[in-house]
Amino acid sequence: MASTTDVELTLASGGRGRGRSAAWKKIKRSRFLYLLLLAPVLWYVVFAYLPMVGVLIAFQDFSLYKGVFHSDWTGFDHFKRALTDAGFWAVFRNTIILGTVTFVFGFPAPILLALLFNELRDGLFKKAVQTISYLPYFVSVVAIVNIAMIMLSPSTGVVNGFLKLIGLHEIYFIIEPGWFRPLYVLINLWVGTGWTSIIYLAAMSSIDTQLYDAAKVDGASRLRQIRHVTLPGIAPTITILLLISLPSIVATNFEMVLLLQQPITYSTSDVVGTYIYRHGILNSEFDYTTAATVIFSIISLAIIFASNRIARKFGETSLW
Amino acid sequence: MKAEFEAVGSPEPKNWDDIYDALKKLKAKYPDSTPLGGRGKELGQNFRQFFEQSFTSGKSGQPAFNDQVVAFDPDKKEWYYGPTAPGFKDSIAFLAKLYKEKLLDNEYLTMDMNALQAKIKDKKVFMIDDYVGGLSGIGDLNPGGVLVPLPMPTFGGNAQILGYTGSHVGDRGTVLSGSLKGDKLDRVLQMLNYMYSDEFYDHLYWNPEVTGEKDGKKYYTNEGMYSGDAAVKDKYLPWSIMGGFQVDNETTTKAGTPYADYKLNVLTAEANKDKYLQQPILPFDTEQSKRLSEIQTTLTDYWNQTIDQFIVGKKSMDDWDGFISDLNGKGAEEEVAIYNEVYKKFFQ
Repeated sequence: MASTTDVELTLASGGRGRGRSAAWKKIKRSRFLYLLLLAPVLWYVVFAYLPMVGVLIAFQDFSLYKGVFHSDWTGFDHFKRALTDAGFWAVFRNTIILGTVTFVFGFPAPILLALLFNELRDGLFKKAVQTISYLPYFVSVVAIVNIAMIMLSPSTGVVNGFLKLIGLHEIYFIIEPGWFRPLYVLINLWVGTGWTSIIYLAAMSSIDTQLYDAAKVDGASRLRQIRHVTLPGIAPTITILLLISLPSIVATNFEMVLLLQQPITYSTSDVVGTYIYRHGILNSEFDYTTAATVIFSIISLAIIFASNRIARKFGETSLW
Repeated sequence: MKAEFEAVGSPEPKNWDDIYDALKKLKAKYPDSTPLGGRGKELGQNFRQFFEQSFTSGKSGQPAFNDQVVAFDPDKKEWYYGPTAPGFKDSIAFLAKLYKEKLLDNEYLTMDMNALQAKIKDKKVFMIDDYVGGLSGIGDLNPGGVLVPLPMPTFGGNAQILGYTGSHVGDRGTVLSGSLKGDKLDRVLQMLNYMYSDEFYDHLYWNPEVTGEKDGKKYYTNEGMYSGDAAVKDKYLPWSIMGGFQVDNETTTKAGTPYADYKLNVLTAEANKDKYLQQPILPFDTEQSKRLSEIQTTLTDYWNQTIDQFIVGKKSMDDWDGFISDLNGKGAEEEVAIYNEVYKKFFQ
């Protein structure tokens, strides 16, 4: 006589079989969708997960000739060096400051711009201004930084021309450590604000116009309409974009920093990316810079976790 | 600009005092100008690099641009840290003085060729610091002006030793796999010996179109080599890479193999031995190379950042001792010690 457990097992096994078959049918039915999914999955495997094996060199006296699997192991030597290197902590601090400042100014800017656009009547002017605002997004970083440098030139730049016109001394912005962060933020705003505002404009366009009509009947001014209709209407979009943007506080635009920085401004402009570029790529310290990157990634992850927890505590949604 | 220097009575300044006087006169004549310019955006911090070359050297015998700042003193037969030479401090102080008096272009750090050309045309810059090849580009766009190359005066230092690139036999080697044993190893060594022999070299290079023979000695004709790297490469040496050696400002291109690379360094050293003193090439071991690399990256960052601060007046020259002390703290003394340790071991 079969015991209860045997019966249960047989039933469960039959159930799993039917489940697998159903799942396989589902996959077969949506095979083209899965095929589409294959490309990004492959991309992640090849370019994001497989290279993680390279993290091993952070624990090695890495030799290009010996490769990842035959280089000598050094334990945590490179980690110790990075953790005790004042230079590493200086660039770490710069990265966090630059990322945070950019986030603080860069996040609300597109919302403000979208609100302004939303108040404009549809027409040629609105279209022209919108196009001009997101045009820089399509220009290469190299060109953008070059244009900025020409505009900021102490001898021929328009900015210094204006300063001289109002009786002020010219400023050699590019070599002033104190000006690096404001410049970086301003250029980022110039490049990205118009583009990101499109998302908010799209959200605004889905707000029911009857709400505005009702507000007008109640005597609401334009500012009150923005406060009580537009902003609540786009609040879910703002929340989602805020959460998506959170990791940017530990990230900087490497190309822009590299092009904009001068050795004389290293005290504020040198970030983890440029530090690793010089030590790792230019000076072939692959092992040490991998260790530095691992440390930075762990701390960055902790910062993102903490930010997410705060968002969850004070808001209704979070990244996960 | 030749005409402008002639107009202020300094047709050919010989030293930095002459140059300073000429720049002052040009500034008096064109008050809006900053007579000395450069293109730091493309060439790095070029003014000071020229000075650095007088006081520093690379471990492979090349003058330092941004990294190795250790130099060899042939009289004392020891290595020292370049910036500690008094002349080096003088050279930076001189640049700081030019910058302060607006004789040096106040935006030289971020200038590129186009911007520099515009300044020359506008009579804002009359003297530039560039390599000889760079002059032709500027000349083409300034048909009315003539740029005269002047040898860069120095503030002392071992410029004679170090003012020349590639005048040394390179410290390259051949890596053999540890798994090579017995007969295989013998055969590889045999091949290497052959590759480093005159027989192989002659076999590789001997061709009437690129080489000649005089009084029983073979020589390399510039014409043949200059007829185009690609032509030589495709016609005679389809599998090789190209190298070059230099006597003064003339470069002779040659096809390269490990031996050819070595040989052209020997040829270069031979050709220049009367003009330039040689400095020892030090055989650092793996540990030493690794440690030097660590030190040099840190030092280079601090060095690049701080020297420009002295020049543009963000740091006072009174802080120079502190700068040297910081460099020592970041590993400069250790770097010199490693150089001297290896030098003593292998050369004394």
